[in-house]
Amino acid sequence: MSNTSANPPENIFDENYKYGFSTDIASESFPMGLNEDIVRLISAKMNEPNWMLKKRLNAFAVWKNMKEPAWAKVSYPPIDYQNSYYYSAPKKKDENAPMTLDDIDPKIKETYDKLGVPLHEQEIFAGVQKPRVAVDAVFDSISVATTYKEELKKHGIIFCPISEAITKHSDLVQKYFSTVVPPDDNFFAALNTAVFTDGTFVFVPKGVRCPMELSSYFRINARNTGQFERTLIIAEEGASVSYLEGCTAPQRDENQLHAAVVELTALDNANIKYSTVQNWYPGDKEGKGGIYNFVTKRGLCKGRNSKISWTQIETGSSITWKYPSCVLLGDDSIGEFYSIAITNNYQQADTGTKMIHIGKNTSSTIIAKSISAGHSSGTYRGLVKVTKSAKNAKNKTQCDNLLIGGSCTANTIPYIESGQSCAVLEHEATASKISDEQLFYCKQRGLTDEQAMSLIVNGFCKEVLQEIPMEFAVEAQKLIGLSLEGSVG
Amino acid sequence: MLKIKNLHVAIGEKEILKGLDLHIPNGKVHAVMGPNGSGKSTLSYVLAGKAGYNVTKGSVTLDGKDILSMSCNERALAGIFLAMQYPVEIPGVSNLTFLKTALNAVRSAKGLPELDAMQMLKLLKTKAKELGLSEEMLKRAVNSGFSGGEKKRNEILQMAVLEPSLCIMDEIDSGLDIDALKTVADGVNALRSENRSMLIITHYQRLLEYIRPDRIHVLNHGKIQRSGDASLALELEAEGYKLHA
Amino acid sequence: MRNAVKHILVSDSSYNLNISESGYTELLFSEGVPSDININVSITDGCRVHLLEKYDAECRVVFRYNIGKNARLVHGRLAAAHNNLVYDIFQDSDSSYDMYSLYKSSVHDTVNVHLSGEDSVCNLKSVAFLHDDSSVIAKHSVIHEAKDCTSSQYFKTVLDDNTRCDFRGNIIVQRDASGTDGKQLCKTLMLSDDAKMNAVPKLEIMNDNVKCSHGNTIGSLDENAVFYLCSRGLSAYEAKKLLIDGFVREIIDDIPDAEWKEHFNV
Repeated sequence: MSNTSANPPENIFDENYKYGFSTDIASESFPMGLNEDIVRLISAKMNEPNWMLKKRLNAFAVWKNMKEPAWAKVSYPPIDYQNSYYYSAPKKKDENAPMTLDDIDPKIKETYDKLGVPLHEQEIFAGVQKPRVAVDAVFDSISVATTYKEELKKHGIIFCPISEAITKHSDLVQKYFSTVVPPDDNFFAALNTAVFTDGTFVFVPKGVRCPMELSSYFRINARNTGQFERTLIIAEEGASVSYLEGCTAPQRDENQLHAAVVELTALDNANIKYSTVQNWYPGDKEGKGGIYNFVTKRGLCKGRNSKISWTQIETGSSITWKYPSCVLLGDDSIGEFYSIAITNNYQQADTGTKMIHIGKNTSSTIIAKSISAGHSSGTYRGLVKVTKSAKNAKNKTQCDNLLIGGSCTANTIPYIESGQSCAVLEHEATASKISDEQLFYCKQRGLTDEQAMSLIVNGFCKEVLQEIPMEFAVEAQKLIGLSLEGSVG
Repeated sequence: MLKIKNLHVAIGEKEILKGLDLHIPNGKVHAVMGPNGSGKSTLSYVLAGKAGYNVTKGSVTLDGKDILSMSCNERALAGIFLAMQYPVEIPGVSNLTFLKTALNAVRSAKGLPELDAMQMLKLLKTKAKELGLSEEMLKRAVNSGFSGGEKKRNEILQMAVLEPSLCIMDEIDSGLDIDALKTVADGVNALRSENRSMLIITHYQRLLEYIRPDRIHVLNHGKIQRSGDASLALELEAEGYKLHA
Repeated sequence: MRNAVKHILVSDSSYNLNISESGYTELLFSEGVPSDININVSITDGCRVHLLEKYDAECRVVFRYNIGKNARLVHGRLAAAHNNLVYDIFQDSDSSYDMYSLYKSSVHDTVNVHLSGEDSVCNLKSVAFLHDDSSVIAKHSVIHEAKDCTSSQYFKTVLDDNTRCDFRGNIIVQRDASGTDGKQLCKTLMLSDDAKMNAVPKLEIMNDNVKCSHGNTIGSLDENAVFYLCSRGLSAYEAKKLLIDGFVREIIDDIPDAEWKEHFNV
């Protein structure tokens, strides 16, 4: 009797990337290519108010006059922007009805189950409540489900797809949209502003501490589709929120573009924590396929004593190009950046942060750990800029590179600019490999090569792992181990 | 029991061990003494399976199993433990996590169920107390910020937890004052058992007053030149290694 | 102590200097010097050479230094007059190169040291002490091409008034350069709110068997230290002078040539 299973046999895909499956559903797409008509179509499809359409068209016009930047230490074949779909969404049963959890195509629900993303609000089980995480699930370019909306509403918190926010909370969105990342900021931001279809909107009103973790889970499924999410998070005076973004995509031979824009605004005494666990398909062992992850993320510490922390674990994507940044405008504001970037096989990463000190007594902390293996290349690129007005600015930066094997590359390129005599900026970076002594010590205690490396790498990343919200810490550690599989020996 | 026959070991082109024979029966403690450069550390590293050492001739068996064909961690799982002369630091990895991973690897190899974090902590606290190591040190990164004496006691703690069948101690007395030496010796003596062999590698006889060996061998010029009982140590102390040059 | 020093008053646009025996040489760039100069310096295997470059006039110079096997070059540079200097320095195996630079006015300085031979060592130590409107652009790169080479870069800057410094320090480790040990440290003391410091210490590493690190600090005089000295009777001015001197002293004290130290005192 042969052993059949509902899932495709393991050996079709790379063992490591267990999210490489694709989901067979009916989806609806616009014609291929990008022009003003497509932009209008997208806006009409989303039922957007006129101000939003104007912003899109303006951004599209700006984009057409821009050139793709080429300064990063990543190389890729030219992207044909016309050879891609800019809208692809799972078909809804009733075109005009909003999606509820029950409306979702069961195959999509199954996808999120497989990915371990909880789409059902967790119940109290035997008197013990598991930590609740509200989830906004985005399948291709469309949000398919958002949990815990009603409960959050009681606190005045808005957590919904940005497409819904643009129509239902138009004034609020208009007030903040594009204020932190204007369309002319860079090539990919302009593109995103023109063609984004969905993303997450979070608004936390004055004095409210969000009672649970908020999370969005992005999944690219359709072929040849670019994913352009737009996320906007606002924390009013005294508010605080912690948000996690998770991402995966199926294995394909072609490269797919992911050009998201995330804007955060924190007012007086507000606190926003934004964590990313990125595991986009990284391409196969020969470097074929994989996601291009070109993202603009910026936080504005607008208010006094405000704080924005970015924590990222970047293990996937064929190419990662992102610099989550903080503009420290408000006096006494704090910016933090904690990052683990892992590259293996033929992946390339050029990532880091920008901390721009403008207000008085601002401080920033940067801890970036990069691990390169295989034939990959990992670059930390950072900017710490202290303007003349930023009296008493403080920065502490620690960048450490771990190289595994003789074919990888690690670069550290920090730009440190000070225009203020009362500022204290400290930067340290190291590059080394896992010492043979450490490996021998672990192996002599009975650990295999993989176990030893995993332990040492986790130790290397410890300071950053501590910043990941507890609910996701175990996943993050597992992911690190998985990403380095095959890099020893 | 450990059986080494006609062991020849080279580092690069240079031959360090030139036909070494050694037999340590179960339950016995043997010491190997010799001047600097005699090949003592080479012997310990070769037994543990460290890279960079070429065995050109000879055999090593542990309880009848051929050790030389095993990889470094396979040898550890077979029961070999090397307490190192210069224990390395592993930042960010707590002693607790490290030992839990190692012990569970050893237990799995023996077909025993793994211990969880709570069980591990309980086990460690007891053993650590016996060695005068604080609970706080268990949470610190492996050997990070440890004094010389603490590092050596940490090696003995690992030995106590992993329960190997062959304990090799490479100059466990180096850098220790009398009090630290006594604590380490007490820890080692507490681990003597019928099923365990011990190989103590040392330069000075002082350690052997606290850990009395059943037999002493003199290693010089890559070979065992002479073997005898515990009194051989005093003879060496008085006359040095010249007689065995 | 000092035997014959060979003084060369640079007056031509092109020089080929072959230094085949140990000794002292000084290159003087004074009034009347040509504005564009090319200089090739070859140091024969095994020689021990001290070479000092003194700039009293504006000029652009492109240098090529070849340091032979087992040779040692101690290289001093006193840049004080709007100079544009470019160096390509090639080190053969077992050679050592120590460079000491002092920038007292606007300079555009590019130094590329190629560690092409195994087991070579290079140490670049620089002090920039700037006033008024001076601006220094210094691009120092150490390129590890061969195995087991060691390098260090120390760049200390004191910026006052309206001055500006751009320091780009690179450590580049090529694929074959295993056993590399590379260090870089850049420290800046800012004495004025109108001064600007831009530092880009880069690491580009393509071999995993390396030990590389860099550090960068930017700050101002420690108020507590100033107070301490004043409480012991020094005036504020004397206290600050002492602290600034202490800041640069580490590099100046390291100069292995007693006569040069006079020139390097700021």
